[in-house]
Amino acid sequence: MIASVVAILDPDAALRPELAEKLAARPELEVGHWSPASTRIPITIDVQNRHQMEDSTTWLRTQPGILMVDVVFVHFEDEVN
Amino acid sequence: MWCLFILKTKSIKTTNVTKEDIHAMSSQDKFNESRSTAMERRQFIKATAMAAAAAVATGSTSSLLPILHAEEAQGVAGGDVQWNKAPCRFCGTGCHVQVGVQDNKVVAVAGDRDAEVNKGLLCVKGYHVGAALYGKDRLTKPLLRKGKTDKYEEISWDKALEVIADRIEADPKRFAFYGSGQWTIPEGYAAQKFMKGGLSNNHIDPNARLCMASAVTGFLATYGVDEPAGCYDDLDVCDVLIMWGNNPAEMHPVLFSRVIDRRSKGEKITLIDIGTRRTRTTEACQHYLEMKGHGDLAIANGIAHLLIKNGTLNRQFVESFCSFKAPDDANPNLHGKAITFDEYKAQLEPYTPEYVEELSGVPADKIRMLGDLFGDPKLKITSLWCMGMNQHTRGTAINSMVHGIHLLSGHFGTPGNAPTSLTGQPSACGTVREVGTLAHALPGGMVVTDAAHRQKAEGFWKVPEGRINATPGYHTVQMWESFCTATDKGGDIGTIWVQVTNPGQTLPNLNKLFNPLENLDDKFLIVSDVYPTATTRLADLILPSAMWVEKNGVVGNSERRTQQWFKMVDPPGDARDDCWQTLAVAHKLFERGMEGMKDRDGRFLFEVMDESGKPVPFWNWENYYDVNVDRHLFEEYRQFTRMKHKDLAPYDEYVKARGLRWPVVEKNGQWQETKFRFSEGYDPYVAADKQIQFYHSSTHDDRAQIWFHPWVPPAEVPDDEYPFMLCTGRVLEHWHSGSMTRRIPELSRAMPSAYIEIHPADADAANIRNGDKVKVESRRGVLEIQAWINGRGQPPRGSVFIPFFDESLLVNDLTLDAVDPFSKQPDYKKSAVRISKV
Repeated sequence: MIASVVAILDPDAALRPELAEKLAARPELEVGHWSPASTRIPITIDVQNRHQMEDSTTWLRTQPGILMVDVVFVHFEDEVN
Repeated sequence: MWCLFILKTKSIKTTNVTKEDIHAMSSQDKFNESRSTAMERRQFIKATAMAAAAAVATGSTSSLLPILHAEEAQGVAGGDVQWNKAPCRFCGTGCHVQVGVQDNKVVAVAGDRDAEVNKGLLCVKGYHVGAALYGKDRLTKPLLRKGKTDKYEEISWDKALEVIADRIEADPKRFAFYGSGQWTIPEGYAAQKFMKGGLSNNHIDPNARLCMASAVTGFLATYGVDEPAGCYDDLDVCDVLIMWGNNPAEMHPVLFSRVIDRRSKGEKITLIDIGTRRTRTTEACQHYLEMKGHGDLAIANGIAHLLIKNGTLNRQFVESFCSFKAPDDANPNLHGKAITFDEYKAQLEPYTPEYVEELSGVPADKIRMLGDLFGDPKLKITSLWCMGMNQHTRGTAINSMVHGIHLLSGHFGTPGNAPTSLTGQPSACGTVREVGTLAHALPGGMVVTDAAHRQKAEGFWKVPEGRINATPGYHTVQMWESFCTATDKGGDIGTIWVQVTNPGQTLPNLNKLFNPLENLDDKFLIVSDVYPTATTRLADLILPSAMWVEKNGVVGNSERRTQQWFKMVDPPGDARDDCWQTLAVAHKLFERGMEGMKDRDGRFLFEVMDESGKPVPFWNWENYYDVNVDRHLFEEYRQFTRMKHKDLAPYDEYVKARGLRWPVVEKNGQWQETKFRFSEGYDPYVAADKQIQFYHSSTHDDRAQIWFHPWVPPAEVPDDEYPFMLCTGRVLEHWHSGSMTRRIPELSRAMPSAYIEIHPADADAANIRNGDKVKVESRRGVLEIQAWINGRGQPPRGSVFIPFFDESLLVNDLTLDAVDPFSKQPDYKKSAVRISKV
């Protein structure tokens, strides 16, 4: 199952370096082009099922420095169903 | 939020996607099939997903919420696609979409950047809205049940019309029409006129009775006229946003994004969630005030108590613009009895923060925080609510009380200061509340019990004096209770025609209000719908309907915005417009000589002339689009809208606009909308130097009413036998009963079935683990359903939540049918249940 989200960031830029490290450490996440001035990061999530998807988006939403996560795209690979 | 959803898959170039790439993708040469086949499918989908997210993320750096515009989307979808505007089919937010059509099919949907409501954004449902047309099991033929078997036969439309006409003609008084807030304005207006102006029958009510009737009575009791004074612009400027039992992050996500976007830009806004369970909204709020059911009544009183005790009420506002009211227990009625400020103060005296804590469960210091916020005149405060306050056996009371604390504190009438109810359906406001498709109402805020109102409506409809029945018809719960009661036991409704809704899933207490129909042979259920549903399961006649852009339409959203669209594609098979169905039945009865279908000159009640003055035979389907029937109905209806200063512009003005907020008045040759009602400088009907003028005041003195209501417990509370409080509601992925969204594969797979949310400690105590099947029992029914612990929503101990979208897991087998005494709206949020592991 593949989805993409936009994480809306807290305007406090001090939180961002640690956040970037945490995002990079999650293998199911891929962070897209991200300007340091931007408060929005595009992220793809590649997981096996909707429970993992829920876990990943919940993890994102609860990270310091992230205000909200908007779901942009959801796709379900046939082989997973 | 989706950026662009393409129904017809095309390949898209995607690596290291930037904003420039998004634009570059618009060119046709990036859609080359060979590239698609060369890419790993998974890699391709992932790249597409990243492109969509990048479009949203990079777009927002240059302006507030820009998204792919239709012209850009056109390039993505292909050059032959024709684009046109329409409001989204789903909720009451009223987002506009750009709809791409190719070869008589909707092939793409994009957010409409020209729309003020959504500024190009859509939620996950909105971007899939086009796919709702193309479920595999669309109804395409009229179907008549064979006797009392489970078999149906295909019949012609003419036969179907004859069957309906036979049922009505046999006994017009035993006929009822059940519609919804998804009826377009012309559809609802046609049904309303057919029933009240034609059949002299007031048994017409909508599903909106189940979702916003208490908001209506709250507005009427406070201002003497329905619908919000403020609008969505308040969300862009308020300092404090209080959500009363409201989860806009899932139910009105585009509106919530508007607020979150402000925070992401560094604006300071305090978000407060007053609720009975943690939701996605809670996660974004600085304050979560978890209350017990009906705790809101105590909290509102607690705030009012503190405003008076602390001397922070706005005396000038109150003395200039407000009066006080309390319930008249000796003669219960919507307008209660007048009380003095001192009497109001005395009634509030017991509601100290500590007592409110005891009643509501919200800590006293949080009540003081709310009191301080409302007591600060420098802050701009907006309240939002939806089902949490409306589906409530004291719904009228809590609606009035929240208006009351805004009035008492003076947080009213300037941008950002507003008590605003949201609606769940695209035209709950436009059709139900304004056209008045309710058992007691007439269009334009008038009522059947008022002789002058009846006379006015009879004049507009050109029907003989006395045609409109003065007795209100059955409200929803009464209507279905009568229909599900045997005729010889007093069940005096014999036939119901359902359009655009699914009562077999959404009525409360289904084992009382719907399921008994199965054993009542003389009752006859007609259902117009686009898909088989829990309601068509017991239908005797099923009529295939056109939906959304398969027909013309006009709707009205939560902020008084009236929106129009044109038909873009043909409906499948023999599916036809709901409005045509109503008008064709009316003409069938006219052909049979029924007096009610004639105006006072003996002409057909709905006669439409062409430019040469000849009647257009639009009751023949092949002639229906020879003339714009919507425009004719709308222009006739428009006369009513001036009765309560809810003036609408001519139809053609809405063709040009992405909706206009009423009252819309002509000034210097321009039709101008109104953002804030009752406020000088914004509302054209407020007299000069009045500042604030409640010109439909129930006390006829331009004053609004500040109400005291006591706290009372819910109609059903947990006890030893049924120890849990059940709350029902919606989820982000599905809309209402899921009859459309469950046919959209992406949404259905994202949220395939309903579940029960249980607190981990309660689950432990019952030996229930995630995924276990749980038996849920109330005094009315039983349901077996999978557990989801620590899932999306998190109820407190002693409370459980089940969404109602799943046709195979009907939570309304369990819910209570107790109603608010004034609005007659049921409470779906508080039913006592017990749970056990299966």
